Amino acid sequence: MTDCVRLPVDQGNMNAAFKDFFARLLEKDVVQALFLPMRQPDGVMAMHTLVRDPERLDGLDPLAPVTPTSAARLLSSLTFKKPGYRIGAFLRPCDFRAYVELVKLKQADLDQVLVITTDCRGRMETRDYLGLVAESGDAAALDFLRRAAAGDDTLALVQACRVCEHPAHDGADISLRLFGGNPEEGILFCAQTDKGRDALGETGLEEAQEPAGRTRELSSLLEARTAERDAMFEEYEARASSFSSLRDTLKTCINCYNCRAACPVCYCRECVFLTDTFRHDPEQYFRWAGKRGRVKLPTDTAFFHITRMFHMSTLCVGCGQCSAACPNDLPVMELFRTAARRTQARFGYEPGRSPDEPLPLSVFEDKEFEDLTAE
Amino acid sequence: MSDQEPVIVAFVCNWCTFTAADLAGTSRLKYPPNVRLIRMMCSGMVDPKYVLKAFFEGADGVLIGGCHPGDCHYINGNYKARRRVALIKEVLALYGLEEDRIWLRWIGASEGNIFAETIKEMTEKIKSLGPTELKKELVA
Repeated sequence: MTDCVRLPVDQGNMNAAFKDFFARLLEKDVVQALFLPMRQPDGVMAMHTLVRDPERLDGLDPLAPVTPTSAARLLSSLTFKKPGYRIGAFLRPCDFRAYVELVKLKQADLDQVLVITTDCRGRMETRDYLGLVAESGDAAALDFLRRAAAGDDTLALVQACRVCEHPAHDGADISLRLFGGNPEEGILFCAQTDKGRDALGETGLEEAQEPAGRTRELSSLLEARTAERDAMFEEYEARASSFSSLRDTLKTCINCYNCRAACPVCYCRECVFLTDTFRHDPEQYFRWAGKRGRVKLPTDTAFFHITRMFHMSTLCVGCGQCSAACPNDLPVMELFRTAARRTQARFGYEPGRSPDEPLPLSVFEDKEFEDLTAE
Repeated sequence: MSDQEPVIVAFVCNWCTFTAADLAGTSRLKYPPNVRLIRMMCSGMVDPKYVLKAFFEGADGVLIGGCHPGDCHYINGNYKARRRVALIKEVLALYGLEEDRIWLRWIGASEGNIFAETIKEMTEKIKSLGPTELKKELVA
């Protein structure tokens, strides 16, 4: 008895096979809505689209190697109030992990969502993806998968993906176990929960086995990514080891707060930096400049980033949307992952691992951190 | 200015540590004048931003004083403070701010002598650490 089924792909047309699969989920009422990356009718950009009509899956491209904004945040806008519809949603592992954190923050729902994730080779920044589409057209996703599997160094993978140690997630309802297989011939869908098993049972697809090479591919990818991640940590621990070196790293930051807006786990409904607390009285600037001789504007640059670290570094899943959003190419992801590694270790916490694991700053024990008070 | 005296900002809870400080005062106990007290209703309302701001504005050390675990006037504020202080220390240590500059201490209302002792100890410790790197180039 296997939990996996195989979706055959005809003549290398992967997206046509996906269309059949997802249309079936709607037609059989497994779900009442789909939330999938789809090319829009008037363009080539793959954006997460809410679909209720199985006839409107034209342009479906779930494996398009691009996530223009956090899909976790987008899905939460559909589920922050318990939805009246069952939704079949495609989320990359990073987006799924962020979504799990949003569920803990009571800003998203998992009960009404059938989550489909994938073995993930990573993604590209929007402008690089558009370049790929200009080259490969409709076959962009397959072209990307082929080149990534072959270890093509010229692929413009997002830095966050190069250091990501979560190319798969076994907590989602269904996973596309792509590694070790050939997506031009068939796609392996594996159920990882009862909900996933029930859903796949309705599709009438043939049972299949996981390809033998998957474990090997997964571990070699993990090895490469972990090495790059460790190199990144080494660089950034050294590079931002003092406030002045932090300020140097942030030298082009203009307090636009785009990183905050793009971050799926930046959870405040009203960010303190957008309130009057940071709308300093003009006299305050003159006082600062008077006391110190001069003051750079805007102020509160390092303050903003460190505060964001206090608020969400324990939840950071390293999705890299922050760096993607930065207009001045600041290494926001690198800064935050470096801080996150420390704060997550301090609390023994791994974001996105399980919705049952409480947020570390929302719980406490009677006796803990006793070394903190030197008692 | 060389040999500048260190500045310690202390966020102390109204019910326990602040009362202890008051007791130290009425008992005429001597302790160094380096501390600036800020009365909070509870150690659990010390936002990490206040600690960060204190350092950015020139503090060399920050003390957070609260009730003993189990004795918090608001039941569990001090437990929350404890986790928050662990978080603050971890993030600021990344940027070279020694963990020893941030002290979390449980000082009960009757422990005026412990309050005075703690300030004495902390002032000595901060003196030995010297001024923060931040102080050399204060930024908003």
